Amino acid sequence: MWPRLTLSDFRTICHYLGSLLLCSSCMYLPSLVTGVVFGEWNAVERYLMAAAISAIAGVLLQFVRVQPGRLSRRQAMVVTGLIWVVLAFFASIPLYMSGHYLSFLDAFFDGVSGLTTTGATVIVDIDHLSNADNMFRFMMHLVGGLGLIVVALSLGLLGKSGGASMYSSEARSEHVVPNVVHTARLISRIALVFIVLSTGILAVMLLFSGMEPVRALLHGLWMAITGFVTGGYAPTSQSALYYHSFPMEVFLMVLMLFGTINFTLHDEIWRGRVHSFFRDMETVTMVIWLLVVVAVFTAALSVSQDFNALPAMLRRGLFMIVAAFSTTGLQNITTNEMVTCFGSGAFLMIALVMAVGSAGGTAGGIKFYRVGIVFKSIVASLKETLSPDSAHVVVTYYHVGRRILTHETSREALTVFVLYVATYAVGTLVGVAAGYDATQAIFESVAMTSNGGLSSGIVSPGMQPFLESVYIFQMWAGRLEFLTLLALIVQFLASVTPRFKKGRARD
Amino acid sequence: MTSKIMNGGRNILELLLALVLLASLCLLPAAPAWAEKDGSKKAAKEQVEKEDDTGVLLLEHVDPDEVDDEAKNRINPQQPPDSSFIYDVSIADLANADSYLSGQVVQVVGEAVGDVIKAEDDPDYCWVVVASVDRGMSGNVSVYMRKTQAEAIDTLGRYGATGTMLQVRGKFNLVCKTHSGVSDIHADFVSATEEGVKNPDLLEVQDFFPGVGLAFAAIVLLLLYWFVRERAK
Repeated sequence: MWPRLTLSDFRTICHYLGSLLLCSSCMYLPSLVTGVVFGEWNAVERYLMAAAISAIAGVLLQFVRVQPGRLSRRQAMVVTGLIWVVLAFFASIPLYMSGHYLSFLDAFFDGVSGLTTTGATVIVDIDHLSNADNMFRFMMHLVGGLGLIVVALSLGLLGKSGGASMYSSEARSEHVVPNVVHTARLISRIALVFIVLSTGILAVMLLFSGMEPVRALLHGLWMAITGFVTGGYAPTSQSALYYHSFPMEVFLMVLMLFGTINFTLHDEIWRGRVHSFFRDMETVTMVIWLLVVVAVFTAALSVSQDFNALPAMLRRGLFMIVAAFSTTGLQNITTNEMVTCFGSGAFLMIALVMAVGSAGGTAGGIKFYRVGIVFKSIVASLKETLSPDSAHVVVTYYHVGRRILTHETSREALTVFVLYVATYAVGTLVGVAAGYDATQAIFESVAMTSNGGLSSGIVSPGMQPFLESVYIFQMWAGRLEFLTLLALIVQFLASVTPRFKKGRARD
Repeated sequence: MTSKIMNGGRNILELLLALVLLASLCLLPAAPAWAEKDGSKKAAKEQVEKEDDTGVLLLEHVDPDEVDDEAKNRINPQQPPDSSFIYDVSIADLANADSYLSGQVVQVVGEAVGDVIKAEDDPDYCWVVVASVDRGMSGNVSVYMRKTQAEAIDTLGRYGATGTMLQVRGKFNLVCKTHSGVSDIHADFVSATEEGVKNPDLLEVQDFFPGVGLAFAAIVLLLLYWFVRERAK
């Protein structure tokens, strides 16, 4: 018997959606200010309209239920699941009006990609994009990377009644401090410190590269945001390759790695408990995985004709591995080189690295924590098989403290693992059915679901609408890590399906 | 016995006759060839003599057989393709190029966009991105050029500015060994074919009316919501 949503649930959900939408109208303000500063009046008009439309829609939704009361867990899941696409829809309005998208669906794709920090883009002529539009793209990354609910909680917009449920529904497992509002504020503070420091360092590097001071500052800010939140958008068509700067690429790699670290572990490091970081199961799994992947990738690249030289392998190969592993999606080679020159082995290794992804933090993919849990579950099963029947097998792991592996933990990890793999497969089949090469279809499906963002060329302006819609769904599902989205779909279907009364038995 | 000897001798004679006829047939095509050769030799000699008569001496009196033996006229199957051939390609073709174009001299025309980035390896060189302007065909390529060549760029393409149209000729590298594997063109020749144009946004107050109107409506609705919520408490 699936739970159905009542009219009362629907009204409460509308109210909270409206609150978040109203809050998100502030997301347009940095672009508005940027447009005014640089005299980009067309952009100023658009963002003023977009902010007003978002605010009006938010208030109207709040009117559906003026006093909403407490938000239940089921309602929270629906709100969290829906807000991503609702927000992406409103974000698409100024993007589409910019004239840099071939269709509204393309603009919606970029809206979802920006908020889910996937980073794949179908924008046209990005080199002539206004600073205001670029600022908006990276604001989407910042809000989406931290989490819409986290941002709302940090600003105190949701209160305690529904905040905790929505926080968990947003695929956030970190509880840095017991109070979820304080956790959200701590996450925001950590991110802000990293981004501000990185902006300064990158801006100086770009100044030395010959960029104008204002452009150096803007590009530094944008690359800092995209690097730390592991987004993938870049302000130019050539991504990180544009800057032709080895020091900058090294710094971006470090920043991306920091972005992948679980915020709880960040807090541990800030508090001086560094040993806790190195003991953590996520860290151990990450190191082992990276060693294996780098070895295999290097071997695959070494047999390619073009990238077998050590400088090229180190600089290009290592950057691409880190960008894939962190599910950022920045590139320091062209897509053509990756598809044509890497060789299928190295190419698919990048896809595999994206598929597994990284730790908590802002990265996507299956995540090391789950890979570690699955491995521990296998160990537990083996122990149980080899132990006498009367033995009580206990398997522990270290994740911010010593924990016992429970059946619930194993089940949750395995469920999400299987859902990820199934989604990769479905996306691949759709890509193949659309006429693309199987290798490219696998790569693209993995990139979308894991919010990796690297593209083999399938994602492009004016791509097939059905395929584009599937990729949008995959990005959305990957960001919510499936369970929230599936719960939303099931509740919706159960609510709209008519209920049939069972007939009474006759004598 | 005598008849056998007679028959044998007849057979030998017939065989000899057949061989003579066969030899004649084989040698027959060669005769015109010899005749041609002789003729061509004669013609060559005559040609030379005629040119001599007109006063234009193009060839010395050389035996054609000796000309064929000169090393410079021999065909060398190991000779690489002529690299002086220039491929006039579009930037979109380079953006999707395979190894065929790598190492070839190409010529492209496109818009200089973004920034002039200093090259890390040589202070006299810089990087410029040249973007395709072909309708429906997007793409760009990094061009490695001298700073003196970059001075041909008067405007860089950005928002509100169309960049200088550049014609670039140079060697295209799909995976450049000098620059750690980047796809680039090492420019030999750069020229500006069209100047850049600046077209900034104009501030038209009436264009803001819809946005201001909607913002005003949002504020009114917010105040109304706050009023209704306070009344409901």
